[in-house]
Amino acid sequence: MNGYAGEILKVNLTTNVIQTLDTSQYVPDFIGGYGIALKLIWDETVGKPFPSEYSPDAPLVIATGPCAGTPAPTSGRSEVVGIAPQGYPQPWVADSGFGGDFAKQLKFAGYDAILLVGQAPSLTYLYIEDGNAELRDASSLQGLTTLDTQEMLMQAHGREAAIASIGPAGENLVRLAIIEAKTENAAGQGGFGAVMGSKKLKAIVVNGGRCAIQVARPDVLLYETRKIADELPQGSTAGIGLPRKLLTQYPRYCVRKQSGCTSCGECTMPFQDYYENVPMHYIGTGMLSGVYHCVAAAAPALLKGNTDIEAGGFEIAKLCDWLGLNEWEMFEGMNWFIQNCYNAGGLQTLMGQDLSLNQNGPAVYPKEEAEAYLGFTPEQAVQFIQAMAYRKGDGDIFAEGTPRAAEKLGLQDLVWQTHKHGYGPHWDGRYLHFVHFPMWVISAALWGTRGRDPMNSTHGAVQNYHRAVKEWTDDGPIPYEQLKVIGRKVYGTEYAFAGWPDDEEMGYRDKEIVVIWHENRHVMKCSLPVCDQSFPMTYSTATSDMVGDFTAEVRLFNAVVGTDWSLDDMHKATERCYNVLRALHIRQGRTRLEDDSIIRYFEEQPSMYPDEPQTLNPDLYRQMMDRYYDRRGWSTESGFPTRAKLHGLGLDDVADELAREGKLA
Amino acid sequence: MDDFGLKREPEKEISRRDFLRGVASGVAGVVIISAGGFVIWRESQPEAEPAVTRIGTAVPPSGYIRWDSDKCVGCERCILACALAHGGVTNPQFSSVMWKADFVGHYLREPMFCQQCAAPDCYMACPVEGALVIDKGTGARWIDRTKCIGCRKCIEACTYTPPRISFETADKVAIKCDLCKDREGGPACIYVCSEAGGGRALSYISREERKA
Repeated sequence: MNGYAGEILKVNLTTNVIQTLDTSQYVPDFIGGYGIALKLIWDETVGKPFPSEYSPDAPLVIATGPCAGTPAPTSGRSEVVGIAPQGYPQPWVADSGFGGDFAKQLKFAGYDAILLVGQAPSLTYLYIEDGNAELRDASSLQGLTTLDTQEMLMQAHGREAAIASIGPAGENLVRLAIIEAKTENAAGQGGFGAVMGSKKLKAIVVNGGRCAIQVARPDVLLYETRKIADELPQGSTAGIGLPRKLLTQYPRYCVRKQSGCTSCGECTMPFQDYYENVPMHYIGTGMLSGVYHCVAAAAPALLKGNTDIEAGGFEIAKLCDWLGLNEWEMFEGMNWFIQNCYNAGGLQTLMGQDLSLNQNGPAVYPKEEAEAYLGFTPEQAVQFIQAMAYRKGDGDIFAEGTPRAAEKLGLQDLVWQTHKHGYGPHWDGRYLHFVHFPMWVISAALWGTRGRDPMNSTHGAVQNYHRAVKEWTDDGPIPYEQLKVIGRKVYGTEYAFAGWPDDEEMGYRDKEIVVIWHENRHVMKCSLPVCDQSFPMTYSTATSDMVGDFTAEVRLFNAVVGTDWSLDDMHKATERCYNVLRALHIRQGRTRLEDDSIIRYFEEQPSMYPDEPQTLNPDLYRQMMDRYYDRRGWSTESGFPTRAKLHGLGLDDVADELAREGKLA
Repeated sequence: MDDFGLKREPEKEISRRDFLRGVASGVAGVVIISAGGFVIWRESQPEAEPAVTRIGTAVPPSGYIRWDSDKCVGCERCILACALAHGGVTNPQFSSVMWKADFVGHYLREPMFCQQCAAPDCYMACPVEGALVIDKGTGARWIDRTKCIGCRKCIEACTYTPPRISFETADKVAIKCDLCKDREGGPACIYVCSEAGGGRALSYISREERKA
């Protein structure tokens, strides 16, 4: 089978039965990676009550796609999909991903995906090597950090082994627990580390082997991989506007730049700063080395904003990696909530100490980013992080994730100001990422129907333009006017980004088209897989009309798999996957009412640009979303898919199941 | 004689037979090769066919792939491109580019290339007629997989650690950099090495440039 290893590993941790499924049953209809994972989860949960996040029959999938293990740029991604403990009020099915070499090692070992079900009787790890898999005792790894776990497992299985592990946070079912691979690659959002913890699965170790991945058109793939790698600096945020100030900021310690925000295999972009021998002051003695970029570099948001490498941020970022905690939620979600509660008088002590936080924090909105910082001392931050990972004192409350902690603290009236579906802000124009109208309208709609923070894979709809448009960003290369041309050629409407700066009605026009396009692209990227910071290339600084190479991913897929799919064919496949995701959410109780729960956040939290519309217009938003549901083939009232839509996508079985539950429109 | 002290043989492909001319018999024990001022010590392989000893014979120089550590961002695509260009498949086993990674310690991510040695121990060690061949165009020391018997002697002989020759367990043949001698457009690893990483980290140094 071109592009695929050919088998999916199904591991039942309760019974210790390990089977294989044939990948060809799922592809190319479900593309690979994320798409396969959604279908596996559907098949695993259909016909019975939908499992809760920690129930033994809750499926967890780690999957990769056809492009992994090939030279396709940025293809070294593993997708984690399952019932996400971080979701709220329900643990909405969600996805997260990590880089490194796990994906290709898994394929070289002979598997496209791992489906985990059941719960081991005691702490265990899964060892995979060259067509074989077995569960092994992990009792000696209990309580170890992600780094120590990997070290121990590499001593047993060789330095080449790819390892995905959980730390104490995962073992203790902290809803912000991550799955960590290597030192910086993490499936951060969703709390999937806690799902592994509930299954008593400490780690997955893969030693690749002899499985040779056939490529349908090797010469075409080599050609495309070169062409696309060279286009990336001109056509994505990877090349334009990534916060260069972070790069080699501390030359004394920054010894080299490497590819990747973290270290995804096959990434061609040199973002990553590796720091060596930074003195430790707060989490231990001696020296600390590691990557300090991407989410990790946001650690000072937990402190007073001091970005100095020795001021504590670097250390608490590493501590989160080791203990296995979600840095994004710690530094950009929970911290904002704590700040808001403090300023509203609802939270004045924490861990037995009186708090003295940043009184200018963003209870309304920050005038500049510096005001967004929380104001923990490094010592407090370390104490808080450890208390969460080990569920000690107040840490036990916050270990339940921000919205559930808010419930316990009686602060649920404040949590909606910072969290949507259980997740903190991310490119929604309200905290950290201050984007112009109507970009945050697009963001709002993206937040609407997803089960998690949507920005793991839709940066291209919001962030990329914010960083590329001349009028919005210093040195931005794309004039705002040019977005008309890009809109017409990429999305089929010149109103794709119309409305800036202050035409409110126009700001909602055709945005649903952009949203659906990027949602489909989200499925495509996580299924191939390729990186979200690099793709899609909707704009370019190198073409005369500034339209980017937005079909690049499809060409990579075709070259590897041997299909001749058009972008429309690919969009149909992605729609199929997205409808399975929607059906899973609907089985979990999702309705349009829940989708619309994000309106309040955007309605009452103003954006930071006073000359533009600053809050969501609920009427215009609902009208836009009516058009969205129509286009999706979902009911505008309930948000349920129609049988006609599901039938058209070959998902009659999904329609039947929803009909049985009375949830088919 | 060129600067490597080796006689160049630009006209025709050189097979083992060419080198056997002038080699009177198999030599066991330590051999001293003196060529153009270079003195190379090596042990021959007494258990191999006596005729294997190409030692003492001039080997023409080869081009090679130069890796610039300052430009490399460690994307690892060269390894997979190599496998892809040679067999249409991807797996490091099918690649002649080696990989050194240490994520937990010093965070190294480096490809390691065959240096196409001036005095190629692999070539000297190969016991099979025509299995390890010197390419007449590039000078590449390459392995003809139809003749390779999978004895691994070339791998054992490689000067470098790890050896720059892979072993493909499926077909039981050794896999070695051939500088993509038959590929239009040159070596695939160089072809995919991205400009984006601050400049292409891989470059082809021809044998003429190499001696300069």
